[in-house]
Amino acid sequence: MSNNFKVNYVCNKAIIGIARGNIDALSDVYDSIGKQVYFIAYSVLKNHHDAEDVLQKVLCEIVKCAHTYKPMSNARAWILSIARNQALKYLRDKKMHISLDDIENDPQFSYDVSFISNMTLFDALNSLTDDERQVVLLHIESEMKFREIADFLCITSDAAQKRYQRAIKKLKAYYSN
Amino acid sequence: MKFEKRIKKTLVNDADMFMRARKQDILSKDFLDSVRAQQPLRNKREFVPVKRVLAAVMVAVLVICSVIFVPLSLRDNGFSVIDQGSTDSGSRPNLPVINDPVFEPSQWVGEADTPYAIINIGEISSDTIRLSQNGVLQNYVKVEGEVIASYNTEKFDINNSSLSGADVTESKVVAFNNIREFYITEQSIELIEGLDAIFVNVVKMNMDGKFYYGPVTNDQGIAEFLPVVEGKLQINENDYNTRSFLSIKILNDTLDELMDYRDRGGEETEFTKALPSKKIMNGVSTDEVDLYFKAWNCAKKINATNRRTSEIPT
Repeated sequence: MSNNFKVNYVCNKAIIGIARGNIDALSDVYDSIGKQVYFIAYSVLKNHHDAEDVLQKVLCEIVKCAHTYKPMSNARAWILSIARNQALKYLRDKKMHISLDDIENDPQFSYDVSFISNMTLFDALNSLTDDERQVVLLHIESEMKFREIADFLCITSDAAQKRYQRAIKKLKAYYSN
Repeated sequence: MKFEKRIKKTLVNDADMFMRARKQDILSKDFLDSVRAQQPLRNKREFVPVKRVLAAVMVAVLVICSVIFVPLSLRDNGFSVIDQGSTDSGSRPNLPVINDPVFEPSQWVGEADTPYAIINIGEISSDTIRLSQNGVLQNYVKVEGEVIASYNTEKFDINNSSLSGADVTESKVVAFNNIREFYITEQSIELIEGLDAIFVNVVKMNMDGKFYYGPVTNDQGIAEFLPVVEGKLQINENDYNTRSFLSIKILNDTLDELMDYRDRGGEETEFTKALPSKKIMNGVSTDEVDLYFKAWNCAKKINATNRRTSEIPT
């Protein structure tokens, strides 16, 4: 909650700055909400390269549309909505839904894995099903509430919570080994 | 639950590390250059006045038509508006135009009608105490401070009978304006270093069935509390023991925006009349700070009933 307020404040200032031509303010947007955007994209696309592409598209979109942003509206929600729309658009454009198996066999993915080979994050997340990973990413990394996740994934809030609990159990088992 | 927190922390840390590592690539020079090239050549805000003028012209035409045709149509029925002795001579409240884009302070802290205080920061000591914040033990640093201005804090006066249940026998409990020290988490201490003063929004807190007073959270994620609660913090969930503060700079930035609104032709209202001419800094009198709070309070009441939303690009 407190973090979201801070994100809102920083993003609000940054978007106003961007609208006035200060492109460098994108760095503030990246630092404050880049991770949330990235993991929303990743939860939809399940591919690091695509998620990064979407993150860049979102940043571009912010620059293009900063003048339409009304200061003091919810900057975080505004950006996350752009992220969601961009991720879905990206997915539509590709006209396919990449499964985790596809990603793992994708040579591009191996580049990413080598890049983050010192991190257990993605290994741990790969121990989850697609549905569970989505909920975990949205709840923990994108800091969305279960209600927001439910809206995002078109499921009930209870279902989102149950998936999350299941995922946490699996992660517990993963880290115990 | 502890495990879940640990997992969360691990995932968040890993993700933070990942995002930091990728920042240079994602925000590469080439990318920023291409974004610059895509930026609209003219900010569309510049067109807003044109739209406004058109809208104003349309409204004016509508009003003129109404003025001309409505009385005529009434007269046709043998009925005169003037004969009604209308007293509608414009006694409507003169509030700022809510959709006016200049009326947009970027920061609204707390709710209207809550008490505020400004605390002058003194020495930051090396003394720490260990207390729990929502069940997690943290180190708090003692900071000397002095309440240099307050607004509406009389309800927190220890002698005020409305503070029923207050632990008035506790030696550490002092009247709000006499507070001389407070505590802040170690991680947050760098945020107040170099600041002359901070602003706090004050609330009454229920601690273990007894009521104390302290700064209210403003969701900045910065914890602090006043010494009266030392040793009294509860670990219960939803028991908001930790409180937050703002730097005076944010207040002054907000004041700039409010004054900007007034200077750009905001109609004279209770709010604009109350706006002080000076920023908040050392040496500003309590009366001047009081003016600021009144203006801010008034602006917040307006803002509270008019939440803004932005169109989301598809």
